[in-house]
Amino acid sequence: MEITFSNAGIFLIFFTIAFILMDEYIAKPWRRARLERLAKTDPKVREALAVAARVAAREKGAETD
Amino acid sequence: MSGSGTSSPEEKAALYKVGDWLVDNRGWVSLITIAFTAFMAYEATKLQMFTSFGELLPYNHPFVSVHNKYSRQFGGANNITIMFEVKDGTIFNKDTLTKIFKATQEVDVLPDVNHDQIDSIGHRTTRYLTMQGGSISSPPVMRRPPVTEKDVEQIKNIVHYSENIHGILVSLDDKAALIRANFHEGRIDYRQIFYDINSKILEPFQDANTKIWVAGEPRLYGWIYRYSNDVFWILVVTYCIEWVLRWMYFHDWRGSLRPTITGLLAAIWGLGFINLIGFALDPLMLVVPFLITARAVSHAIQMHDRYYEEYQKNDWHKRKAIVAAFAELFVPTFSGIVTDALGVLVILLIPVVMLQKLAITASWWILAITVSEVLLNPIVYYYLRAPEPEMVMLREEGWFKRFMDRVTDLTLSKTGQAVTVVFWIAVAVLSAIFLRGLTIGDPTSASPLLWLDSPYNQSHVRIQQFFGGVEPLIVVVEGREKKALQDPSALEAMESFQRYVDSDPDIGYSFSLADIVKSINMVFFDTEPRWGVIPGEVARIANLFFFYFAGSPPSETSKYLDPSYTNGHVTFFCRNHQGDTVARIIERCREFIAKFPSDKVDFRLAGGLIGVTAAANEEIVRNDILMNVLGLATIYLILLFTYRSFTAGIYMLLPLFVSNGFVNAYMSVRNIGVNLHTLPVVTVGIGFGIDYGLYIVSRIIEEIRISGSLFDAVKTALCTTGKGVTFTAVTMVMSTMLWTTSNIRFDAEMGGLLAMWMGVSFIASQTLMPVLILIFKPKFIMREIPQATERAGAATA
Repeated sequence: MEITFSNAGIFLIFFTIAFILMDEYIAKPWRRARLERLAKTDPKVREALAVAARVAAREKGAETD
Repeated sequence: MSGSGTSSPEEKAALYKVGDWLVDNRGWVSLITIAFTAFMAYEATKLQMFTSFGELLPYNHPFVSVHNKYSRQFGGANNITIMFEVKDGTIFNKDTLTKIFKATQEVDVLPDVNHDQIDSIGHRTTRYLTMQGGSISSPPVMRRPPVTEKDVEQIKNIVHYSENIHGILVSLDDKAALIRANFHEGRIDYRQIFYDINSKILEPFQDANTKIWVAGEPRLYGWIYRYSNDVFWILVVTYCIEWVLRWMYFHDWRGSLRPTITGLLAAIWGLGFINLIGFALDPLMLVVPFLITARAVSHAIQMHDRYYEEYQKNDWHKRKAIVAAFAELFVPTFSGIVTDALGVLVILLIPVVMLQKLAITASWWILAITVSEVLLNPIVYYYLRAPEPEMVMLREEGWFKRFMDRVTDLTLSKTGQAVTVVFWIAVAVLSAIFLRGLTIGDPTSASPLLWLDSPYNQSHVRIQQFFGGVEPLIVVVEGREKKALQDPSALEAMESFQRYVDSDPDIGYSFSLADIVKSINMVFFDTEPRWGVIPGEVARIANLFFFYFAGSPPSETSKYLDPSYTNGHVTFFCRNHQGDTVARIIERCREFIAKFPSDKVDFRLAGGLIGVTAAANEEIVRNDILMNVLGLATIYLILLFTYRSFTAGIYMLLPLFVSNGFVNAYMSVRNIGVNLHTLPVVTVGIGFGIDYGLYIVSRIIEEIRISGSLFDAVKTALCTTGKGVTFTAVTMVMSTMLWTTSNIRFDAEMGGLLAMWMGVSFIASQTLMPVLILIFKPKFIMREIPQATERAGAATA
């Protein structure tokens, strides 16, 4: 198949959307689960998750206010 | 809050205010941007891809003036050569001669062909001399395709007895015949010509016994158009690889998307602008816009990296991080973009339209990054969700960070410093030794635009094998008065000039009006060779011309001389257009003109492909050093104002000097000549190479204000900003290297050279520059220490 500006552009748009969806719905939950597992043994990971929880709570509070 | 670059606290405060203002006014700034981008996108859709041969010529060179003045009459550089080669037997059979005749007719109807500049035994303008009824006449070799074997035999005899045909349009072994055509210069539709030759000549006339080879500039550009779709493969692969790499680096899709938005906006504005000012995209220059977009993406990566850093520093407050990242990186990013733009703008000084167009469009395109990267950045971040804090924190513990820390420790150790200095001195010395072999012009006999094994270059080589020289050098002979070319001394001067120059081994054959006169004279004496001389009287020569040209329309005689017998030409067909061959032949022409001046005619250099190649090569010699000096001087001036220091430029330009020397040495070793196409590599490379130094030095200044220690400042700069620089350099080099897979050799080599340029300048910026800063402790950095001390004192109080 000959590649042209149009079909290259369409492919890249699909690639971008697919990648964002993959990161949001597959990679992110997987990363989160992995970190929670690591947090049991690694204090640095535990601290990072604690900071993330604090920031999330703060952001949620700001939204509620 | 730390400072950066060389901004004073007041300037920094102003930048924070601008950042805040952009976030506050994000609504209408976004609306204006979207509206403008939509307009530019509409303009970009109308953009055409186009190459004009005339735009490749150095327009103020005297050779090009001569070429432009006479190319319509005596033939230009836009020639196509089609060779019919038979496998078994000779071309003298009904089938092959009919094919040649019909193919010639097809050539005569190609778009933009000069109908009076077609040479083929099947064309009306290719004539032979004969005596008919006591008078001389010059009928065409073939009026129609041969019907009988007797016709074939007659054509064969004519060819064998005609000096201007045998060995020139038909090979000496009778196995090949040429059709040569010249095209009007201007907006030639190379795509259409390429398609027409394939569908109307190659497909119908090529068979098991007949092979057709096609060469010449219009065919070459046709192939380049055909291969230009490579850019889409490279674009797709680069986009996907870079997207994945950025995702791996930032651990977040926003880190991939944000630089893409910058690159996309800059590309739409750049392409729209090219169409708005009436220019077209040149397929040979596609690598440059691609690099500019990659550059935009690189600046965005730096900004995104800093955003993460500021997000953590500012206790995970998105808005504070957005404004801080904008204010802290404004100076190095803006300076980087301006140096890129001005570095490319220097190309404007080369008097070649295509390069000047490139300078204008590329500079605008790069400046568009200022808006898409610097000003829109805070707004885009505002609309995107902030990254997850755990990701920001844990990526600092990753293998890449550990690798950067380890390499920095090694480089900045005492032994590392010594090794670094010795290594770069060795690189500089070796480069200086090897770059002496650098050639100007094309070092190969085939076209350097395509690979040696490409169908085009195979055709070119095959035609050279049969006919020797096919690349014309046209020297115009201008008479000082009307009918000057009827004077025996004028014709003798032409003949002497011809003999003097064509003794060069790389000239296949030559042709001038003197050859015609001698041939006609011989015909009057039963083709006795001893009468093949120029007659001594004006009247006799005038008579010979009358006999020869009387039966031909003026359009056919105009390719030999003008109607007033004042101007003619001597054409040399050269075996190749290698830089040294062209220079040697032109020198030989100049030698003759200086040694043997004629009082009847003046020899004007030079038209044809060799003439304009000589002009381009001479222009390169004039401009190559100028481009290097001006490119570096422009950047030095910008650094002088940015850092308010005379020495800052020296430290940051040193990696670029080394890179330039290294790349030139590589070109010399790999036999890549400096030509009009490789000339912009230096300025584009310099502009891009300086960015690495800018980011690192700005961070060193920023850190020394906080810590007061030069060593700590350099180390922190290399481990933080240096990490971003390393990532952008690796992705840039990788994506540029993908161009080496292009079918267009020029794009492949330019991509390879630029990748090398950026790779070497990156390594030097990351090793040589910081080590020199540690060794020599430059004042423009050390003077920032007191501010830190004062601040520390104030804090203690």
